[in-house]
Amino acid sequence: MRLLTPVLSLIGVLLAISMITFAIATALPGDAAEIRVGKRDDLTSEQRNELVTAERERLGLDQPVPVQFVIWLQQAVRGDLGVQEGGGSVGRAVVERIIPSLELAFLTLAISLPLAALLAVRSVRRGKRVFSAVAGQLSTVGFVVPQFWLGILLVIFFAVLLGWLPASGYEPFRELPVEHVKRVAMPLLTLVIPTTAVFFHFMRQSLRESLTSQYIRTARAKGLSDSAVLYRHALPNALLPTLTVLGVQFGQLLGGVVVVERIFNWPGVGGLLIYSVERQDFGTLIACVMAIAAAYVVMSTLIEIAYRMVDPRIRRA
Amino acid sequence: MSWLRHNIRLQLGLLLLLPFVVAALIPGVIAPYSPTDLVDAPFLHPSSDFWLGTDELGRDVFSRLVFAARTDLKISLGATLTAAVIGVSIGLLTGYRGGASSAVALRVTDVMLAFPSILLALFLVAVMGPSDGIVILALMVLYIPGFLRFARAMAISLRERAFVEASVISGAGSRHVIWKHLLPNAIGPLLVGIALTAAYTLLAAATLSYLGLGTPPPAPSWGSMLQASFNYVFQDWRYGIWPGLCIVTVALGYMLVSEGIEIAVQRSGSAGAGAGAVEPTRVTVATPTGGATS
Repeated sequence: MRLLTPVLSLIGVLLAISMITFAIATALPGDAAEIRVGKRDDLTSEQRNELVTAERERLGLDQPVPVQFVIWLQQAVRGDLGVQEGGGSVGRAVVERIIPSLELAFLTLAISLPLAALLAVRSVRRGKRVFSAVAGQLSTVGFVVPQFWLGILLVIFFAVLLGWLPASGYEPFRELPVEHVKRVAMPLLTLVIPTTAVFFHFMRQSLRESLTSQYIRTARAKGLSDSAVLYRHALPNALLPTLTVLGVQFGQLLGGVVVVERIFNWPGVGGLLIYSVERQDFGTLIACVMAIAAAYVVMSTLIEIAYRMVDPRIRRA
Repeated sequence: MSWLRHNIRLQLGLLLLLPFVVAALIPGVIAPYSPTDLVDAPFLHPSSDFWLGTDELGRDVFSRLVFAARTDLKISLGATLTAAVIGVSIGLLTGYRGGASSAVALRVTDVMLAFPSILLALFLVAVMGPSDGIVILALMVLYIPGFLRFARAMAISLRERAFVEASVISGAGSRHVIWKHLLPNAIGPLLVGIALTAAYTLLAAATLSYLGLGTPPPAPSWGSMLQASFNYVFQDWRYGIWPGLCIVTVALGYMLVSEGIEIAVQRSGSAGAGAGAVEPTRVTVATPTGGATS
């Protein structure tokens, strides 16, 4: 039962998002049928208009928007997301593109979370005031440095000045693992720095709060060492509120991935999204937005389920 | 000026912002050249004629930075202030009145916050076509929920306070209560939120123009300058440093001002409802526990 509510709301939110994206995307200036027909100098304007009308009918654009939505939804449920501008299945393109995006997102989390926890614990230790102050200021900087500038600075340093890493590109891991790692390093670093800064801020705050609680005093009174108190008692409790920001941060991270993909020419779903905006490719645009939104919503749902399992106080509510 | 004394964050923040505000107000006086004129050969190194060199078309980088200050500050402040006015008005009203409108407002903000923010802005700008006005509008939509939730929480907690009840008993209408009692008590934390949101909108606007969905060329903005510079990073990497530095300095300035105001508010002791007053204006609101943090 506990799992039912979040899963139901997951479906509801996905449906709402698909409706909104569909509505906004239909308002895109420019007519998909016009674009598909293109400029045809060999035809008279009348012949061309006929072609556009036929194309519009074929694409179902002559139907009212709600009907278009229902048709699209029926096909989408069956796994058919339509055909890309210039051929190719939208569904396959999005699936192909979302894997490199998720690779960046999850690798970032896998590095940022433990790193932030480690830094946060160190900075609340007694006698670490200098470390705490420096880490705090650095994390503020990590907060305000825009990701694209960070990416550019990394490229300037590692690719242009030192020449250690290729400036951009992608190689599949299975075929060229070393080249893949070389190319993933800079995008990953660009994402890890701000993400770690945010988590660090948050964890330090909740660690400080949990350090004033009674159970910490009890643990200290038992004569436990500083490390034992911090790692075994304070940290687990401080991690709980971090779980709540994890969902939102994952959303921010996906936004960051879109930017980073652009900088490093990473073949992810963000690049496809911007490309489809430029080409006014309606179907692909919706599919990209939906893919990112779905990744985000599924992640938040998983976090909520985890949160309910970890914190017994919420189960009853 | 007692609020400025012994408040290093506020002083430092204002100091960082000052040159950019001046540049935004009188760019023509400060910049030696027009931002769009091709003044010399491209990619010149910094010299006494061109303080920061020239860009890929031979335009003066320093002059473009100065004029871009106007664009970027206009967008960040415009979006933040309109979002604050709209969000706070709706939030105070629905929070004070309570009932169905309040619940609806909360659900709507839930849905909006359930969307990766930059994606929403990107989508809106993509649909409506890039221009300064549209970017302001998109970012405004993005940051209304934060202000709305903050004002609503403020109104709900203030509503029960004795001075509000006294006012209601003596016959004050809701308009009087909202203007004379709720808003003045919310103003401190509100300013904290406005300064912080200004930093976020600045970064978001820069991101949009970096992606080619911001201020259309040839008008300068820091984000689009960065994007242009990146295309020529192997020819001349120097010019990519400056626009980024401007963005970071202004964002840092806004954040320091925000923290400085927070300190000033705490000192003056009129922190109003206090608890969580600043938190709701951050963009990180949607909690997986169901959201309603009233």
